[in-house]
Amino acid sequence: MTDVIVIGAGGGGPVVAKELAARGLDVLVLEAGPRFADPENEWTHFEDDVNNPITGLFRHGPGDRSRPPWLRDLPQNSFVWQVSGVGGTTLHFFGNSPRAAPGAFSGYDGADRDMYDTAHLFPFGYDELRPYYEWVEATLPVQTAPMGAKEQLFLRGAAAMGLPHQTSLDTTRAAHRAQQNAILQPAGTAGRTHDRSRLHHPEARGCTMCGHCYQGCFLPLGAPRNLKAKRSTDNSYVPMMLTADAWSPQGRPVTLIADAVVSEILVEQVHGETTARGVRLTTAGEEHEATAPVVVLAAGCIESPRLWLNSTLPNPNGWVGRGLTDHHMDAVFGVFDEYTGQTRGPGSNARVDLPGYGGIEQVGLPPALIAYALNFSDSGIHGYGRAGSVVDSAGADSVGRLVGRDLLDTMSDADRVLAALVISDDDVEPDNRVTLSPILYPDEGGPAPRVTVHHRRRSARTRRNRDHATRKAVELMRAAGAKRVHRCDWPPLILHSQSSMRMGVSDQDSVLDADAEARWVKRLFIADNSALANSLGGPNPTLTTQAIATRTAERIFAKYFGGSAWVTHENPVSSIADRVTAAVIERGI
Amino acid sequence: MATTMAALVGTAGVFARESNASPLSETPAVRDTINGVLAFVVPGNDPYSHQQGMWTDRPGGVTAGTAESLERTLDQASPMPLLGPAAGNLPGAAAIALLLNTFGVTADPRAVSGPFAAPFANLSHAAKAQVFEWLDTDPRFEGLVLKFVVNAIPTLAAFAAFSEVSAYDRTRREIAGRPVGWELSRYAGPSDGWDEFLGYYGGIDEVEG
Repeated sequence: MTDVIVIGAGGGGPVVAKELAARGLDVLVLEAGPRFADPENEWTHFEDDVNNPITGLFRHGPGDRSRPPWLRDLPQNSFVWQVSGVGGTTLHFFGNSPRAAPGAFSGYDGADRDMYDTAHLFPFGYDELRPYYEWVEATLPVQTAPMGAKEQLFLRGAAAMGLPHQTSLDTTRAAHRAQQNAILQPAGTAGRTHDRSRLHHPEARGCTMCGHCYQGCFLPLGAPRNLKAKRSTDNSYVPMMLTADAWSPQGRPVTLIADAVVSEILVEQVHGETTARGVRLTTAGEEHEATAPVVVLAAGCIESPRLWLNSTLPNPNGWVGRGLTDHHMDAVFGVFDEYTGQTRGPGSNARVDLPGYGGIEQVGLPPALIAYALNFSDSGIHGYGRAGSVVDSAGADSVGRLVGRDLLDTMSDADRVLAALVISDDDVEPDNRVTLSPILYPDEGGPAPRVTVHHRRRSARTRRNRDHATRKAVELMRAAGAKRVHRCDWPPLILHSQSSMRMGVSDQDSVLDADAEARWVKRLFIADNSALANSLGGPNPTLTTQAIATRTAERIFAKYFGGSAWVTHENPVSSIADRVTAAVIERGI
Repeated sequence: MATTMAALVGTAGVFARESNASPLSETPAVRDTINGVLAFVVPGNDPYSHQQGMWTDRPGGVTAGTAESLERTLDQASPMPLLGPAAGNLPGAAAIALLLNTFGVTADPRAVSGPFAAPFANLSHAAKAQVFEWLDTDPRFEGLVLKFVVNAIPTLAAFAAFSEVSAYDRTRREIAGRPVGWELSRYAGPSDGWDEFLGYYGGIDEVEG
């Protein structure tokens, strides 16, 4: 009998599954997208082939690419860039694993405590989460990122601005540092050669600095799946959950079914309470029901509220789907006379944290993504019009979409460009939300989601934060030596989606309690970014989601299976441990 | 333009199943329109770039592979009728072409005649920019999927032009020659690794606490 059903094999679901499988529970994981079991042969380094957001391998849609993607109704200039499939959006993430700002949690008493979204804090303190951070950081593992040319240039600019070098995991002040990344450090020949014949495992170990994080990590060539450099869940938690019996004394391997679309969460009334009892799913063209004492929803910030609404589950305070945060991003590009190495090395190995505002990340991209980023704007076409924009250049030399000669000039040498991603600590606002589309025709998952973001009407604090961080990014580029700086003024490019099914202090503006259990449906937990209470003060969300998912697994085990907590009593097994590797090789995972 | 656009857009309403959409082959001038977009975003030495008055001396965004890829992307991004029955319930690239050409004629009525079947492709670069400014700000698109689609046109064109698609064999999933966008950006091309490792910032390779 299945103990727990997990819906979604992205950044959060496999964490709960792995932890509970290690305790001996029978876990079933259902993933709507495909499973890429042989990435060395299934993936390429070509940008359109993999990353075309509509037709690429890494899109939000079915594995059959002759079919359209699963559409979202976006009633504004925007794009939600998520990936379906085992690994989910971690397939193309950059592995950035900073801890959240302590100011995003209850009980924070720092001097800058009023700088955060104090109306929507986490319902527990930062110190409570720290052991879970440590557990996940050891499991993935998270390591200090190495330097390449673009990182050195970025941090040179940050240092020239007078920002101190942060040498701790917790962030307590404005500072610059190498990223803490879920990417294995380069060893052997990795990072030291571009000779393909010398980049096979085990001669090459860890990150080969190929420059293709966004196209999924299948390097070093020949490495067992759990020893691929980037710790996307397909390379870390998924191999662990599938081999739990091999590395945990009481472990049981998880059952994973890909291409399985869940269309309804099934409930029943138990002692007067609405209680989850299973799911309805479609796989291989046939509809099934699966039942379990506990259901974990981890389908992502858009699909989790969509599935809730399609299942007509209770929503008495109306907060299902509300409060979506996205870090109100922007991008700044510098053009340099010197080599930047923009197209080489990991996606982001350096950052600036601006507590109370957000932060800035150095971002490396291959050329098509650079061009995409330079052409995505809420400020019209540079040199022609402003499209009613509500921002200025923030001190940059240009703002808006770059086309024609402007684009050609900026793109004339991709390795003399440096990109900075601006990530703002944005407020939870109820009208930025996920609903069901009244327009799009339903797909196999039911009525499609509509994602509404009032980009030009964000809260005053959110706009302040974005403006501050963007100006700092422009300043950083100039301090690093850029001869020309461009501000994109991105519309919502939703790469960090958070808090649409938020946990909260108050039952008036949250969906989940402090244990991530749904307030209105017992035995239903949520373990993806949507469960976050807010946008974390700006840092990337995956590590915090995984830490909270670990904590949620403990709560599930204690409350419904009579077990006890383990994080503070045991040492975690690393996903690169020999026991895991041996099982991965033996089972051909 | 207002009356024409009301007929095109105002009746779009609730989208029907994709199978009800008119096939691309029934619509004229789609390829010319798409090439006009690609020349606008990434001009080169092609006739579309010369026509708009902004060109270069080497290949740009206008290639058969790039246009084909962009059309496929637009078709899949909006496989439902984007425009109303008065406009033939057109989906994808065909609907976008009709929209660009309608706005294009408004930007410059002389665009109905010219070397290309698509009025948009006959426009100057500045007039094309005016079309996109209108598309970015037209209040009739607010709240419609069309808003997302029209905003995405130049962005997806830029992505296509600098990707591998100008020289990509989709069947073999290999490139046959050097893609134009890689040449324009001096991109060395994909690799399984680079000798980029320069050590650790401040000599610190491990952080705690």
